[in-house]
Amino acid sequence: MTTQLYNRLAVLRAERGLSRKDLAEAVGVNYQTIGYLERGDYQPSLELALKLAAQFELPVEMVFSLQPFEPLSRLATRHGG
Amino acid sequence: MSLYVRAATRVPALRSARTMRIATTWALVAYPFGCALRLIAPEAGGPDSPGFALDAGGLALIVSAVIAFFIVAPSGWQRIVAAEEKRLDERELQQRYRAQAFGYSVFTVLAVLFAFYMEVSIDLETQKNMLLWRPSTSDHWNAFIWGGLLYAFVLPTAYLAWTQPAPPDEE
Repeated sequence: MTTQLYNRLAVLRAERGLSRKDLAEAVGVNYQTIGYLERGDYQPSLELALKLAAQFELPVEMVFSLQPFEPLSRLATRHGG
Repeated sequence: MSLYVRAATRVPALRSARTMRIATTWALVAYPFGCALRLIAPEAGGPDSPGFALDAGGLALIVSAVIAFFIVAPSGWQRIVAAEEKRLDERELQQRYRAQAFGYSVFTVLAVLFAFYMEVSIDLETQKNMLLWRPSTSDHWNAFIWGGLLYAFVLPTAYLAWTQPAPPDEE
């Protein structure tokens, strides 16, 4: 049985204006692998997860999680009052 | 063992999941049916004889199976199955190992069934004088050898085509 692994790759990539190809080249994978990751169709190795987190200069738990991420709009509402 | 025909552009040819499913299945089904048709065709007579039609139909099926293989050969999924390991990333390697395990299992079952059939047919002939068809000419063995190669090349790709989600589009 495989546990679902959630990630924020699509949001982070869009935020930084990176294409799948750019991100794929930066971490040394095929661009389709980034697409599979974003769709949740593939779970990365620890090495790839760490490389992706390092690419976004974020701790790995901010990029990948076993729980669904809270939508940014809800976070912004909470912090903005 | 498999074969990946790299395009001149070095970029794998774009094939939809549907095309890959149809092409791999067609290659795997049309080839043995074509060979069987050619086998049961009586000595081909003139263009109007049923033997000629069966023979030509069988040949057409075999040619179509080869064409289907050449649709599959330069595709991205065939690249995963057959390109050098150093050119694949971790996801692609994982897919390759699964596909090869599937191909190996199916190929092994087919090879064992063939060996079992040969053994039974020899037994029946020697003990009960019952004749079952066995490959005997070089044409028959050629058909098996090329069929074996075709199956070894296409089975792992067929597994990917039928089990993997369609690749995400390039942005």
